[in-house]
Amino acid sequence: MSAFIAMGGYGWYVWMAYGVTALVVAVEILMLRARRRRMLIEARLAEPEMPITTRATLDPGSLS
Amino acid sequence: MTPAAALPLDRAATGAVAPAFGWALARDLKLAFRSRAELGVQLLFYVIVVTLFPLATTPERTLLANLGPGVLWVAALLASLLSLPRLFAVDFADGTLEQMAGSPWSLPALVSGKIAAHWLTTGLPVAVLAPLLGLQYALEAPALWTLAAGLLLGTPILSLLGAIGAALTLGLRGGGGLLALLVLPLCVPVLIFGAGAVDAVRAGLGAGANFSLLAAGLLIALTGAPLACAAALRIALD
Amino acid sequence: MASTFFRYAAPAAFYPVARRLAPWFGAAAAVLAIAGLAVGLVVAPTDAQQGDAYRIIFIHVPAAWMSMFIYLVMAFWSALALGYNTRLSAMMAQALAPTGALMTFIALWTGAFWGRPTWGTYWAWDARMTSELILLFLYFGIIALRNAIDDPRRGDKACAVLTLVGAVNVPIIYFSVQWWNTLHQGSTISMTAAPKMASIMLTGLLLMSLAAWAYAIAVALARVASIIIERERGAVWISHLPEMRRLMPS
Repeated sequence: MSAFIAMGGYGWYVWMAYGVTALVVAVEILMLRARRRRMLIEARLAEPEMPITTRATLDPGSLS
Repeated sequence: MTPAAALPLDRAATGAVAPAFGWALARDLKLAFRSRAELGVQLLFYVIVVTLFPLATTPERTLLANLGPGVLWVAALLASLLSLPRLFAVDFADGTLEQMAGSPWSLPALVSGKIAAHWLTTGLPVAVLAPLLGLQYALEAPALWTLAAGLLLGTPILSLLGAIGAALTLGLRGGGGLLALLVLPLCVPVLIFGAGAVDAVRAGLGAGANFSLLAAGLLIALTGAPLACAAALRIALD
Repeated sequence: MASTFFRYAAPAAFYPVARRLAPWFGAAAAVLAIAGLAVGLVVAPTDAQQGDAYRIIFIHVPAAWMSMFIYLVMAFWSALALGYNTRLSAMMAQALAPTGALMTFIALWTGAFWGRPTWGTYWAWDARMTSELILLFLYFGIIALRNAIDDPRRGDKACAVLTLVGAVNVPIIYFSVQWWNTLHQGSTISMTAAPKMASIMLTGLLLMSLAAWAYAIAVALARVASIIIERERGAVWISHLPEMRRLMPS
């Protein structure tokens, strides 16, 4: 196992390369999740109003 | 705010290229000449930037001669960038640009006229001035001629590519910096072949290949850039 | 047949497709990556000249390929967006740009860490790496332009023009950088001279390339789904989405 990490003496280089790659890929995926959540929330907030005819308490007498 | 310019549409048929080009060129030159101080400032910028490098590195002549072509070319690139944001901004602000786009005249032709005026007021003076500044870098006469010739071929390309960037970034925040980010990578080949020509001459080799490539690049830019620029302007104006 | 295909050109129709497909490509990417990493890190033998440092190519080469391939795909979608004035084509281009930039960064980063032990330097101005760096600038330019433009349709078309202008330039830039590089041979080393490849190494490379390709598709589909939501905000079909109910039941 330690031989695996040591990578024949080149451990620093190999794991810096693989490690940062894994890191930025993880960051991209996390940012995508966050973006999706944010867009769904904004879309929810931007939903069109309920149409007037479905309002239960429509009283013709109150209209002027 | 100056009122929008009136295009003399009676002068030529729809889509005619030469009158549109000529009108735009003459108008921009006239406007540029009215603010002569601005032109002087741009040239002064070039001189100062070129002078900064030896101060920041070394006055040692051999090293300077090696650096010189690159520095003189990069500075020319930066000087060209300096005046690009204004290429369309003023006309955009007073409505002339909309008039141009809406007119029956060919927009690429009008744009070419403006780009030609930009080159005449920025690139051409730099190409003329550069050999003098090349003396500061201990460059010899053959190298200086090659520098001037290369800049004469290359600076129009810089103006053409820069105009596309100026059209794309019209009216946007972050203007000048964004423009530089978009345009500079595209100019790398011009830089490589232009400065490379001087290096080739200094090494005793010919600059023929470099000049051929620059000339080819100029032809491609002359045909493609006004079209791309006009398309970008229409996108910005919509 | 064509009408079925063009049905999906509407963002509303493509959204469920993107949402359904993305996890599958993601799973494929994960499986391929595990297999590829197993080969690259464990199974493939140590190289005689470069030692274990050569194992970096199993990331570097696929990333470099994807960085260029994604740009070509972006150019394709940009051409469609300008030619047919379709929103979804532009959205696909918009979704690809960040991943393309990421691949380019990974190629540059891994290239540097491969170069240091192998040729003694993190950066050596060789043709491929220098072109890769300029490609990164092109990606950043496209992303910056998109961020600077508020109107989505203007952003679509402006970025499409920029992508296409860049696409025309990329071969010219690569040629000029290579030309420049061969002239200054003296201190140059070809940082991308891979070791002689045993077939198991090629297998590893293939697996990782497929993994990178599947990953890029998965991420692009996921991103375009978010972009569609963002751009189609207020449309009725969005309020009917199951994820909207789940998110904020009212």
